[in-house]
Amino acid sequence: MGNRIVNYVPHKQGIYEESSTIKGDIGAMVEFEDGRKYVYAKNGAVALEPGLIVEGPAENASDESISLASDVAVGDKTLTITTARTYTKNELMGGWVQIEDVAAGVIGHARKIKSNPAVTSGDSMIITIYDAFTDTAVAGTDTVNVMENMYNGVIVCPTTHTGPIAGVPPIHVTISYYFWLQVAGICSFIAGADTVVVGDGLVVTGLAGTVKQAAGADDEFVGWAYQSQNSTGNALIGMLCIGRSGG
Amino acid sequence: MGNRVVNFVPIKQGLYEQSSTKKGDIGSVLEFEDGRKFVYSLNGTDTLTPGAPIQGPVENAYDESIVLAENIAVGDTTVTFDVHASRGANLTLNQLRDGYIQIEDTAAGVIGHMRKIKSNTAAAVGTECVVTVYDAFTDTATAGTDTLNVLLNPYSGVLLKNSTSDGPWLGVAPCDVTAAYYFWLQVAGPASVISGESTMVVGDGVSLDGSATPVLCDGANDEFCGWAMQSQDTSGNAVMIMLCTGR
Repeated sequence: MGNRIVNYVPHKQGIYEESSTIKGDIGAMVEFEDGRKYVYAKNGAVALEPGLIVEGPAENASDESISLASDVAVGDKTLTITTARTYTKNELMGGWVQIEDVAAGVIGHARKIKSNPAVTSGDSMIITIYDAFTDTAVAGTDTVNVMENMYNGVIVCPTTHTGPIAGVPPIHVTISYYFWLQVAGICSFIAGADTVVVGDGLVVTGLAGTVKQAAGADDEFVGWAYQSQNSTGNALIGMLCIGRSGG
Repeated sequence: MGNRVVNFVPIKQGLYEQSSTKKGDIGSVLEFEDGRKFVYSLNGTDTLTPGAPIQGPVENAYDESIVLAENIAVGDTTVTFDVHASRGANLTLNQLRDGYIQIEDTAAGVIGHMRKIKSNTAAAVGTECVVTVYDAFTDTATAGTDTLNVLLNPYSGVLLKNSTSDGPWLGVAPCDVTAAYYFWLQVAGPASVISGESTMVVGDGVSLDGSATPVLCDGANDEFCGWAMQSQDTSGNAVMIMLCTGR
């Protein structure tokens, strides 16, 4: 079978290389014929270790239930919000905006974000999206959630999650460097305190970047063990499954 | 939508055919536009039946925590280790090809690196084996101190899933397969399975925990394998599920 790439993104950076400069779009993907997938990502403020699961930037409550400053009409490709924090220019690029309201027919619409200007808290900010809205929303009544690109500023999963599970780094990654984050396929994991047996479902519940056997209580599922954890070390190979599987 | 292949692998063997001779690389993928995915596999010693859950070869404890025989330097693409005297079987030439090797040690900065295997030398138990990997190591490892895990290509020598998992969860056989024949193993998409569960209801999460056939997720060490697309009726045990194996 070999080691061929099937879905190629022309970033001039190998999957086992890191870079201090950005070589392509964050979120771009490269896929190998054996099912391994990697997303181009930027590390956050802590050095990363191979095999330790990372998550996206910590959730910010000011990104949720934001007031709409202007009505949204069908066909609009922009929406204006009243911010509750400072945003840098295009900080939300590649992220998502979601309409949130209890009114039937309004809640639930989500669009990918193309750009945003730099603003401070309390300003009006115009968000531009890729695809037009197919429903209306009302200023002063409906609210929105925004989510930045989860691969921009990843961190090692803390014991209590603060952001979305993103993947597993295949190498050491320096603070603020760019790298390929593994998001699917056969993968290197580091096990935590609990014993893992081949075939087990793997979860990261209550652990910092390491995996353990699925337990059933609020499991944060990430894949299956392909090997048992042994007594002389904590590394094991498994199948990573965090929603990026498939063609 | 029809039944078109989207990711075509030029293996001259139909989806529902088996072959006594190898027609292509084990591990090659065939994907249909409806989400079904199949991996070219070699059956082991069992006779497989359609709908039967399939696992990879039984784990060999002596393929884990193997002591390094020579240091690894940054840039190396080979790894040398001694095949454990108790492994029970020699390593044949390229038996590890398309498998994976993982560095395992408790030392920070060493554990967690994984590479895909390109080839290996033939080695009897108790003798030295040299593995060549596709991508160079980006960290060092020390002979006599650091250890390795190796994982053979899981799709070579598959078997009916045992009630207590002892190999990686892989997928479902779509047809009858003779021992030691080559076939397409289903790894994703709508799939036929034979359930061991009398009360499975459409929408249920499905697990393989403690069973050779799919059962309901019960929250205790669930080995998740998909979602029920139909309720199981009382006149038989076959049910369609959306198969989830990480592919």
